[in-house]
Amino acid sequence: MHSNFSYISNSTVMLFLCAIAIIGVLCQAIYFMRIGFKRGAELGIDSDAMKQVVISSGIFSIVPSLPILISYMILVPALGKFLPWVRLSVIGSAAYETMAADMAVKAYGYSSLSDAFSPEAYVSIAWTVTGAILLSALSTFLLKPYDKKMKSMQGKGSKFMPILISAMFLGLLGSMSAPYLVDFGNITGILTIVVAGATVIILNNIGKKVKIVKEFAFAGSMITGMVFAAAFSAFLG
Amino acid sequence: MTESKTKNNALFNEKIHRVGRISTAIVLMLFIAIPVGITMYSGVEVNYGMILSSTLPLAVMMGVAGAVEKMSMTPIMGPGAVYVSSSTGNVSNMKFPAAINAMTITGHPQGSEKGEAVALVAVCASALVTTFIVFLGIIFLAPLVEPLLSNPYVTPAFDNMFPALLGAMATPFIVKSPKLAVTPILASCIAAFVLGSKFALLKGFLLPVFILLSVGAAYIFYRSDEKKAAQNNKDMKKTA
Repeated sequence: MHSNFSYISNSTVMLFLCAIAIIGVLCQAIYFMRIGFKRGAELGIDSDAMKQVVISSGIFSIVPSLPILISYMILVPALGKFLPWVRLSVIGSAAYETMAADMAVKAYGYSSLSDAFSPEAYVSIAWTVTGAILLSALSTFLLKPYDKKMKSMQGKGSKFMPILISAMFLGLLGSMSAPYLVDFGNITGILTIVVAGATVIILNNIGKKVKIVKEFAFAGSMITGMVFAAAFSAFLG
Repeated sequence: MTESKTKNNALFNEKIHRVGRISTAIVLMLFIAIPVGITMYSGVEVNYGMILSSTLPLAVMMGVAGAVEKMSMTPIMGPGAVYVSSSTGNVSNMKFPAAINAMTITGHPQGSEKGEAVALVAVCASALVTTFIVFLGIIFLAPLVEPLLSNPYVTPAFDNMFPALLGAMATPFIVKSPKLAVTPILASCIAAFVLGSKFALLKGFLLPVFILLSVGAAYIFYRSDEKKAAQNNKDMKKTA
Protein backbone atom coordinates (compact mmCIF):
# COMPACT_ATOMS: atom_id res chain seq x y z
CA MET A 1 0.00 0.00 0.00
CA HIS A 2 1.43 3.34 -0.96
CA SER A 3 1.32 6.03 1.68
CA ASN A 4 2.15 8.80 -0.76
CA PHE A 5 0.12 9.91 -3.78
CA SER A 6 2.94 10.99 -6.13
CA TYR A 7 2.87 7.63 -7.93
CA ILE A 8 -0.61 8.71 -9.13
CA SER A 9 -0.20 12.48 -9.45
CA ASN A 10 3.05 12.40 -11.44
CA SER A 11 2.30 9.24 -13.41
CA THR A 12 2.35 8.89 -17.19
CA VAL A 13 -1.37 8.07 -17.07
CA MET A 14 -2.04 11.38 -15.35
CA LEU A 15 0.15 13.23 -17.87
CA PHE A 16 -1.73 11.59 -20.73
CA LEU A 17 -5.21 12.33 -19.30
CA CYS A 18 -4.32 15.98 -18.60
CA ALA A 19 -2.61 16.52 -21.96
CA ILE A 20 -5.64 15.12 -23.83
CA ALA A 21 -7.99 17.47 -21.93
CA ILE A 22 -5.80 20.48 -22.73
CA ILE A 23 -5.50 19.48 -26.39
CA GLY A 24 -9.33 19.24 -26.49
CA VAL A 25 -9.64 22.80 -25.19
CA LEU A 26 -6.97 24.06 -27.60
CA CYS A 27 -8.82 22.45 -30.53
CA GLN A 28 -12.03 24.16 -29.44
CA ALA A 29 -10.28 27.55 -29.26
CA ILE A 30 -8.56 27.08 -32.64
CA TYR A 31 -11.79 25.95 -34.33
CA PHE A 32 -13.73 28.87 -32.91
CA MET A 33 -10.96 31.24 -33.95
CA ARG A 34 -11.34 29.98 -37.51
CA ILE A 35 -15.09 30.54 -37.30
CA GLY A 36 -14.45 34.05 -35.95
CA PHE A 37 -12.06 34.92 -38.80
CA LYS A 38 -14.49 33.58 -41.41
CA ARG A 39 -17.38 35.46 -39.84
CA GLY A 40 -15.28 38.64 -39.73
CA ALA A 41 -14.51 38.31 -43.45
CA GLU A 42 -18.22 37.69 -44.20
CA LEU A 43 -19.14 40.86 -42.32
CA GLY A 44 -16.47 42.89 -44.14
CA ILE A 45 -14.02 43.31 -41.26
CA ASP A 46 -10.61 43.64 -42.88
CA SER A 47 -7.95 41.10 -42.01
CA ASP A 48 -5.61 43.78 -40.63
CA ALA A 49 -8.18 44.64 -37.98
CA MET A 50 -8.50 40.95 -37.09
CA LYS A 51 -4.71 40.60 -36.84
CA GLN A 52 -4.67 43.71 -34.66
CA VAL A 53 -7.23 42.02 -32.36
CA VAL A 54 -5.12 38.85 -32.12
CA ILE A 55 -1.91 40.77 -31.30
CA SER A 56 -3.55 43.09 -28.81
CA SER A 57 -5.43 40.25 -27.04
CA GLY A 58 -2.33 38.06 -26.98
CA ILE A 59 -0.13 40.78 -25.53
CA PHE A 60 -2.76 41.80 -22.99
CA SER A 61 -3.09 38.16 -21.80
CA ILE A 62 0.59 37.77 -20.92
CA VAL A 63 0.54 39.82 -17.69
CA PRO A 64 -2.62 38.28 -16.16
CA SER A 65 -1.20 34.82 -17.01
CA LEU A 66 1.82 35.31 -14.73
CA PRO A 67 -0.06 35.02 -11.39
CA ILE A 68 -1.47 31.73 -12.72
CA LEU A 69 2.08 30.39 -12.55
CA ILE A 70 2.19 31.32 -8.86
CA SER A 71 -1.07 29.42 -8.29
CA TYR A 72 0.54 26.53 -10.14
CA MET A 73 3.53 26.58 -7.79
CA ILE A 74 1.15 26.64 -4.78
CA LEU A 75 -0.88 23.70 -6.08
CA VAL A 76 2.01 21.46 -7.22
CA PRO A 77 2.94 20.17 -3.73
CA ALA A 78 -0.73 19.37 -3.07
CA LEU A 79 -1.93 18.05 -6.41
CA GLY A 80 1.25 17.01 -8.26
CA LYS A 81 2.66 18.37 -11.51
CA PHE A 82 -0.13 17.63 -13.95
CA LEU A 83 -3.50 18.15 -12.26
CA PRO A 84 -2.80 21.86 -11.50
CA TRP A 85 -1.67 22.24 -15.13
CA VAL A 86 -5.04 21.10 -16.43
CA ARG A 87 -7.01 22.82 -13.66
CA LEU A 88 -5.41 26.16 -14.51
CA SER A 89 -5.76 25.70 -18.28
CA VAL A 90 -9.33 24.36 -18.40
CA ILE A 91 -12.59 25.87 -17.08
CA GLY A 92 -11.48 27.25 -13.70
CA SER A 93 -9.50 30.27 -12.66
CA ALA A 94 -6.39 30.72 -10.57
CA ALA A 95 -8.33 32.14 -7.62
CA TYR A 96 -11.04 29.47 -7.76
CA GLU A 97 -8.69 26.51 -8.09
CA THR A 98 -6.63 27.43 -5.05
CA MET A 99 -9.83 27.95 -3.02
CA ALA A 100 -11.47 24.72 -4.26
CA ALA A 101 -8.34 22.65 -3.59
CA ASP A 102 -8.03 24.16 -0.11
CA MET A 103 -11.71 23.44 0.70
CA ALA A 104 -11.41 19.89 -0.65
CA VAL A 105 -8.27 19.21 1.40
CA LYS A 106 -10.00 20.41 4.58
CA ALA A 107 -13.11 18.32 3.82
CA TYR A 108 -10.88 15.23 3.91
CA GLY A 109 -9.52 16.10 7.32
CA TYR A 110 -6.18 17.66 6.36
CA SER A 111 -5.16 21.06 7.64
CA SER A 112 -3.58 22.56 4.54
CA LEU A 113 -2.44 22.03 0.96
CA SER A 114 1.07 21.22 2.17
CA ASP A 115 0.01 18.10 4.12
CA ALA A 116 0.98 14.62 2.87
CA PHE A 117 -2.23 12.97 1.61
CA SER A 118 -3.04 9.32 1.28
CA PRO A 119 -3.67 8.10 -2.29
CA GLU A 120 -7.41 7.76 -1.41
CA ALA A 121 -7.54 11.38 -0.26
CA TYR A 122 -5.68 12.54 -3.37
CA VAL A 123 -8.10 10.82 -5.75
CA SER A 124 -11.07 12.14 -3.75
CA ILE A 125 -9.64 15.68 -3.89
CA ALA A 126 -9.24 15.32 -7.67
CA TRP A 127 -12.92 14.32 -7.87
CA THR A 128 -13.97 17.26 -5.71
CA VAL A 129 -12.06 19.98 -7.59
CA THR A 130 -13.40 18.56 -10.88
CA GLY A 131 -16.98 18.11 -9.69
CA ALA A 132 -17.17 21.53 -8.07
CA ILE A 133 -16.93 23.32 -11.41
CA LEU A 134 -19.26 20.98 -13.35
CA LEU A 135 -22.55 22.79 -12.66
CA SER A 136 -21.04 26.04 -13.84
CA ALA A 137 -19.76 24.36 -17.02
CA LEU A 138 -23.11 22.66 -17.61
CA SER A 139 -24.90 26.01 -17.45
CA THR A 140 -23.34 26.63 -20.89
CA PHE A 141 -26.10 24.40 -22.29
CA LEU A 142 -28.67 27.05 -21.27
CA LEU A 143 -27.06 29.59 -23.60
CA LYS A 144 -28.90 28.61 -26.79
CA PRO A 145 -32.50 29.38 -25.72
CA TYR A 146 -31.34 32.45 -23.83
CA ASP A 147 -29.33 33.80 -26.77
CA LYS A 148 -32.26 33.12 -29.14
CA LYS A 149 -34.53 35.22 -26.94
CA MET A 150 -32.00 38.06 -26.77
CA LYS A 151 -31.38 37.95 -30.54
CA SER A 152 -35.12 38.01 -31.30
CA MET A 153 -35.42 41.15 -29.16
CA GLN A 154 -32.48 42.66 -31.09
CA GLY A 155 -34.06 41.60 -34.41
CA LYS A 156 -37.19 43.60 -33.64
CA GLY A 157 -35.00 46.67 -33.97
CA SER A 158 -35.83 48.05 -30.54
CA LYS A 159 -33.95 51.30 -29.92
CA PHE A 160 -33.65 50.27 -26.29
CA MET A 161 -31.63 47.09 -27.07
CA PRO A 162 -28.16 48.76 -27.34
CA ILE A 163 -28.94 50.64 -24.12
CA LEU A 164 -30.00 47.40 -22.46
CA ILE A 165 -26.69 45.74 -23.43
CA SER A 166 -24.72 48.73 -22.10
CA ALA A 167 -26.76 48.63 -18.88
CA MET A 168 -26.07 44.90 -18.45
CA PHE A 169 -22.38 45.52 -19.06
CA LEU A 170 -22.28 48.34 -16.51
CA GLY A 171 -24.15 46.14 -14.00
CA LEU A 172 -21.48 43.50 -14.48
CA LEU A 173 -18.66 46.04 -14.14
CA GLY A 174 -20.29 47.49 -11.01
CA SER A 175 -20.35 44.12 -9.26
CA MET A 176 -16.74 43.40 -10.29
CA SER A 177 -15.44 46.79 -9.15
CA ALA A 178 -17.43 47.33 -5.94
CA PRO A 179 -15.34 45.15 -3.57
CA TYR A 180 -12.25 47.15 -4.55
CA LEU A 181 -13.96 50.56 -4.57
CA VAL A 182 -15.16 50.19 -0.95
CA ASP A 183 -12.04 48.47 0.39
CA PHE A 184 -10.80 51.47 2.33
CA GLY A 185 -8.17 49.28 3.99
CA ASN A 186 -6.48 49.04 0.60
CA ILE A 187 -6.19 52.64 -0.57
CA THR A 188 -3.57 51.47 -3.08
CA GLY A 189 -6.26 49.39 -4.83
CA ILE A 190 -8.68 52.33 -5.06
CA LEU A 191 -5.95 54.66 -6.38
CA THR A 192 -4.83 51.97 -8.83
CA ILE A 193 -8.32 51.92 -10.36
CA VAL A 194 -8.19 55.71 -10.70
CA VAL A 195 -4.67 55.77 -12.19
CA ALA A 196 -5.40 52.97 -14.70
CA GLY A 197 -8.69 54.68 -15.59
CA ALA A 198 -7.06 58.08 -16.14
CA THR A 199 -4.29 56.47 -18.20
CA VAL A 200 -6.71 54.67 -20.50
CA ILE A 201 -8.59 57.91 -21.17
CA ILE A 202 -5.33 59.73 -22.01
CA LEU A 203 -4.06 56.86 -24.19
CA ASN A 204 -7.41 56.54 -25.98
CA ASN A 205 -7.28 60.25 -26.80
CA ILE A 206 -3.70 59.94 -28.11
CA GLY A 207 -4.84 56.79 -29.96
CA LYS A 208 -7.27 58.87 -32.02
CA LYS A 209 -4.19 60.32 -33.74
CA VAL A 210 -1.64 57.51 -33.28
CA LYS A 211 -3.23 54.17 -34.14
CA ILE A 212 -0.68 51.94 -32.41
CA VAL A 213 -1.34 53.67 -29.07
CA LYS A 214 -5.04 52.79 -29.28
CA GLU A 215 -4.15 49.14 -29.87
CA PHE A 216 -2.16 48.91 -26.66
CA ALA A 217 -4.07 51.47 -24.57
CA PHE A 218 -5.79 48.79 -22.50
CA ALA A 219 -2.73 46.65 -21.71
CA GLY A 220 -0.61 49.82 -21.24
CA SER A 221 -3.10 51.31 -18.77
CA MET A 222 -3.30 48.09 -16.79
CA ILE A 223 0.49 47.91 -16.53
CA THR A 224 0.67 51.63 -15.60
CA GLY A 225 -1.84 50.94 -12.79
CA MET A 226 0.25 48.02 -11.57
CA VAL A 227 3.50 50.02 -11.68
CA PHE A 228 1.73 52.78 -9.73
CA ALA A 229 0.58 50.19 -7.12
CA ALA A 230 4.16 48.96 -6.67
CA ALA A 231 5.57 52.49 -6.46
CA PHE A 232 2.85 53.74 -4.10
CA SER A 233 3.28 50.73 -1.78
CA ALA A 234 7.05 51.29 -1.72
CA PHE A 235 6.41 54.99 -0.93
CA LEU A 236 4.07 54.05 1.96
CA GLY A 237 6.74 51.66 3.18
CA MET B 1 -32.05 44.18 -42.65
CA THR B 2 -32.47 42.10 -45.80
CA GLU B 3 -34.08 38.66 -45.66
CA SER B 4 -30.91 36.86 -46.80
CA LYS B 5 -28.84 38.64 -44.17
CA THR B 6 -31.32 37.62 -41.47
CA LYS B 7 -31.21 34.03 -42.70
CA ASN B 8 -27.41 34.12 -42.81
CA ASN B 9 -27.25 35.41 -39.23
CA ALA B 10 -29.68 32.73 -38.06
CA LEU B 11 -27.56 30.03 -39.72
CA PHE B 12 -24.40 31.43 -38.17
CA ASN B 13 -25.97 31.50 -34.70
CA GLU B 14 -27.22 27.96 -35.15
CA LYS B 15 -23.67 26.87 -36.08
CA ILE B 16 -22.11 28.66 -33.11
CA HIS B 17 -24.47 26.92 -30.68
CA ARG B 18 -24.06 23.54 -32.34
CA VAL B 19 -20.25 23.73 -32.31
CA GLY B 20 -20.29 25.28 -28.83
CA ARG B 21 -22.48 22.58 -27.33
CA ILE B 22 -20.67 19.66 -28.95
CA SER B 23 -17.19 20.97 -28.15
CA THR B 24 -18.19 21.83 -24.57
CA ALA B 25 -19.59 18.31 -24.11
CA ILE B 26 -16.31 16.82 -25.42
CA VAL B 27 -14.21 19.07 -23.16
CA LEU B 28 -16.36 18.11 -20.15
CA MET B 29 -15.97 14.41 -20.92
CA LEU B 30 -12.19 14.78 -21.23
CA PHE B 31 -12.22 16.73 -18.00
CA ILE B 32 -14.21 14.09 -16.09
CA ALA B 33 -11.99 11.38 -17.60
CA ILE B 34 -9.17 12.63 -15.34
CA PRO B 35 -10.62 11.59 -11.95
CA VAL B 36 -12.26 8.54 -13.55
CA GLY B 37 -8.92 7.52 -15.11
CA ILE B 38 -6.83 7.96 -11.98
CA THR B 39 -9.41 6.14 -9.86
CA MET B 40 -9.16 3.17 -12.22
CA TYR B 41 -5.37 3.42 -12.53
CA SER B 42 -4.68 3.71 -8.80
CA GLY B 43 -7.26 1.12 -7.80
CA VAL B 44 -7.96 3.02 -4.58
CA GLU B 45 -11.42 2.82 -3.03
CA VAL B 46 -13.17 6.11 -3.04
CA ASN B 47 -16.05 7.17 -0.80
CA TYR B 48 -18.39 8.75 -3.35
CA GLY B 49 -20.86 9.83 -0.65
CA MET B 50 -18.15 11.89 1.00
CA ILE B 51 -17.06 13.30 -2.37
CA LEU B 52 -20.64 14.36 -3.12
CA SER B 53 -21.13 16.00 0.27
CA SER B 54 -17.86 17.95 0.00
CA THR B 55 -18.42 18.88 -3.66
CA LEU B 56 -22.07 19.93 -3.64
CA PRO B 57 -21.89 23.21 -1.67
CA LEU B 58 -18.98 24.43 -3.78
CA ALA B 59 -20.65 23.22 -7.00
CA VAL B 60 -23.91 25.07 -6.23
CA MET B 61 -22.06 28.27 -5.36
CA MET B 62 -19.90 28.09 -8.47
CA GLY B 63 -22.85 26.92 -10.60
CA VAL B 64 -25.03 29.90 -9.78
CA ALA B 65 -22.15 32.36 -10.21
CA GLY B 66 -21.08 30.71 -13.49
CA ALA B 67 -24.58 30.61 -14.96
CA VAL B 68 -25.27 34.25 -14.11
CA GLU B 69 -21.87 35.31 -15.45
CA LYS B 70 -22.49 33.52 -18.76
CA MET B 71 -26.02 34.93 -19.12
CA SER B 72 -24.84 38.47 -18.48
CA MET B 73 -21.84 38.21 -20.82
CA THR B 74 -23.63 36.57 -23.77
CA PRO B 75 -25.41 39.69 -25.09
CA ILE B 76 -22.18 41.68 -24.67
CA MET B 77 -19.55 39.48 -26.33
CA GLY B 78 -21.67 36.88 -28.11
CA PRO B 79 -22.29 33.18 -27.44
CA GLY B 80 -19.18 31.91 -29.30
CA ALA B 81 -16.85 33.88 -27.03
CA VAL B 82 -18.80 32.64 -23.99
CA TYR B 83 -18.46 28.97 -25.04
CA VAL B 84 -14.68 29.33 -25.41
CA SER B 85 -14.39 31.35 -22.18
CA SER B 86 -16.36 28.75 -20.30
CA SER B 87 -14.01 25.95 -21.39
CA THR B 88 -10.80 27.87 -20.88
CA GLY B 89 -11.66 29.67 -17.63
CA ASN B 90 -10.19 32.88 -16.21
CA VAL B 91 -13.23 34.67 -17.62
CA SER B 92 -13.56 37.94 -15.71
CA ASN B 93 -9.82 38.54 -15.32
CA MET B 94 -8.80 37.71 -18.89
CA LYS B 95 -11.33 36.59 -21.52
CA PHE B 96 -13.99 39.21 -20.87
CA PRO B 97 -11.50 42.14 -20.77
CA ALA B 98 -9.84 40.79 -23.95
CA ALA B 99 -13.23 40.77 -25.70
CA ILE B 100 -14.09 44.30 -24.51
CA ASN B 101 -10.66 45.55 -25.60
CA ALA B 102 -11.09 43.99 -29.06
CA MET B 103 -14.46 45.69 -29.56
CA THR B 104 -13.02 48.99 -28.35
CA ILE B 105 -9.95 49.01 -30.61
CA THR B 106 -11.91 47.99 -33.70
CA GLY B 107 -14.78 50.34 -32.89
CA HIS B 108 -17.45 47.63 -33.19
CA PRO B 109 -20.10 47.98 -30.49
CA GLN B 110 -20.93 45.33 -27.91
CA GLY B 111 -23.72 43.01 -28.99
CA SER B 112 -23.31 43.86 -32.69
CA GLU B 113 -22.52 41.15 -35.26
CA LYS B 114 -19.06 42.58 -35.93
CA GLY B 115 -18.49 43.07 -32.20
CA GLU B 116 -19.27 39.40 -31.59
CA ALA B 117 -16.86 38.30 -34.36
CA VAL B 118 -13.90 40.29 -33.01
CA ALA B 119 -14.73 39.29 -29.42
CA LEU B 120 -14.66 35.63 -30.46
CA VAL B 121 -11.24 35.99 -32.08
CA ALA B 122 -9.92 37.94 -29.07
CA VAL B 123 -11.11 35.33 -26.55
CA CYS B 124 -9.57 32.50 -28.61
CA ALA B 125 -6.25 34.38 -28.93
CA SER B 126 -6.24 35.05 -25.19
CA ALA B 127 -7.02 31.39 -24.44
CA LEU B 128 -4.19 30.17 -26.67
CA VAL B 129 -1.64 32.57 -25.15
CA THR B 130 -2.61 31.67 -21.58
CA THR B 131 -2.51 27.93 -22.26
CA PHE B 132 0.92 28.36 -23.86
CA ILE B 133 2.25 30.36 -20.89
CA VAL B 134 0.91 27.84 -18.38
CA PHE B 135 2.53 25.09 -20.47
CA LEU B 136 5.85 26.97 -20.38
CA GLY B 137 5.21 27.33 -16.66
CA ILE B 138 5.16 23.61 -16.06
CA ILE B 139 8.27 23.08 -18.21
CA PHE B 140 10.53 25.78 -16.83
CA LEU B 141 8.90 29.20 -16.37
CA ALA B 142 7.14 28.85 -13.00
CA PRO B 143 10.30 28.47 -10.86
CA LEU B 144 11.86 31.41 -12.73
CA VAL B 145 8.84 33.71 -12.35
CA GLU B 146 8.13 32.87 -8.72
CA PRO B 147 11.06 34.84 -7.17
CA LEU B 148 10.15 37.85 -9.31
CA LEU B 149 6.46 37.78 -8.40
CA SER B 150 7.16 37.20 -4.71
CA ASN B 151 9.64 40.10 -4.55
CA PRO B 152 8.23 42.54 -1.92
CA TYR B 153 8.50 45.46 -4.37
CA VAL B 154 6.72 43.58 -7.17
CA THR B 155 4.02 41.83 -5.08
CA PRO B 156 1.78 44.95 -4.71
CA ALA B 157 1.71 45.29 -8.50
CA PHE B 158 0.24 41.79 -8.94
CA ASP B 159 -1.95 42.10 -5.81
CA ASN B 160 -3.54 45.09 -7.50
CA MET B 161 -3.63 43.67 -11.01
CA PHE B 162 -7.40 43.20 -11.00
CA PRO B 163 -8.13 46.80 -9.81
CA ALA B 164 -5.76 48.03 -12.56
CA LEU B 165 -7.59 45.91 -15.12
CA LEU B 166 -10.97 47.18 -13.87
CA GLY B 167 -9.88 50.80 -14.08
CA ALA B 168 -8.63 50.31 -17.64
CA MET B 169 -11.74 48.39 -18.71
CA ALA B 170 -14.53 50.31 -16.95
CA THR B 171 -13.48 53.96 -17.13
CA PRO B 172 -14.07 54.59 -20.87
CA PHE B 173 -17.63 53.22 -20.53
CA ILE B 174 -18.34 55.18 -17.36
CA VAL B 175 -17.08 58.37 -19.00
CA LYS B 176 -19.18 57.61 -22.10
CA SER B 177 -22.42 56.86 -20.22
CA PRO B 178 -22.15 58.39 -16.73
CA LYS B 179 -25.94 58.45 -16.31
CA LEU B 180 -26.22 54.71 -16.94
CA ALA B 181 -23.22 53.90 -14.76
CA VAL B 182 -24.39 55.62 -11.56
CA THR B 183 -27.08 53.11 -10.51
CA PRO B 184 -25.19 49.80 -10.87
CA ILE B 185 -21.95 51.15 -9.40
CA LEU B 186 -23.69 52.82 -6.46
CA ALA B 187 -25.88 49.77 -5.74
CA SER B 188 -22.90 47.39 -5.94
CA CYS B 189 -20.75 49.63 -3.73
CA ILE B 190 -23.48 49.88 -1.07
CA ALA B 191 -23.95 46.09 -1.11
CA ALA B 192 -20.18 45.47 -0.97
CA PHE B 193 -19.80 47.94 1.91
CA VAL B 194 -22.68 46.42 3.92
CA LEU B 195 -21.86 42.76 3.23
CA GLY B 196 -18.06 43.02 3.47
CA SER B 197 -16.36 39.69 2.76
CA LYS B 198 -19.76 37.93 2.27
CA PHE B 199 -20.16 39.92 -0.97
CA ALA B 200 -17.84 37.56 -2.87
CA LEU B 201 -19.76 34.49 -1.69
CA LEU B 202 -23.15 36.00 -2.60
CA LYS B 203 -22.02 37.53 -5.90
CA GLY B 204 -23.81 34.93 -8.02
CA PHE B 205 -27.11 35.84 -6.37
CA LEU B 206 -26.45 39.59 -6.28
CA LEU B 207 -25.35 40.02 -9.89
CA PRO B 208 -28.86 39.56 -11.38
CA VAL B 209 -30.14 42.17 -8.90
CA PHE B 210 -27.51 44.70 -9.99
CA ILE B 211 -28.20 43.98 -13.65
CA LEU B 212 -31.96 44.39 -13.17
CA LEU B 213 -31.43 47.65 -11.28
CA SER B 214 -29.08 48.86 -14.02
CA VAL B 215 -31.49 47.92 -16.82
CA GLY B 216 -34.47 49.36 -14.90
CA ALA B 217 -32.70 52.71 -14.39
CA ALA B 218 -31.59 52.71 -18.05
CA TYR B 219 -35.20 52.14 -19.14
CA ILE B 220 -36.41 55.06 -17.04
CA PHE B 221 -33.75 57.34 -18.61
CA TYR B 222 -34.63 56.01 -22.08
CA ARG B 223 -38.36 56.71 -21.60
CA SER B 224 -37.69 60.17 -20.21
CA ASP B 225 -35.34 60.99 -23.14
CA GLU B 226 -37.98 59.75 -25.59
CA LYS B 227 -40.63 61.93 -23.94
CA LYS B 228 -38.29 64.92 -24.07
CA ALA B 229 -37.55 64.30 -27.76
CA ALA B 230 -41.30 63.99 -28.52
CA GLN B 231 -42.00 67.21 -26.62
CA ASN B 232 -39.20 69.01 -28.52
CA ASN B 233 -40.67 67.81 -31.83
CA LYS B 234 -44.07 69.13 -30.82
CA ASP B 235 -42.60 72.49 -29.79
CA MET B 236 -40.68 72.77 -33.07
CA LYS B 237 -43.82 72.02 -35.08
CA LYS B 238 -45.72 74.64 -33.09
CA THR B 239 -43.08 77.33 -33.72
CA ALA B 240 -42.90 76.34 -37.42
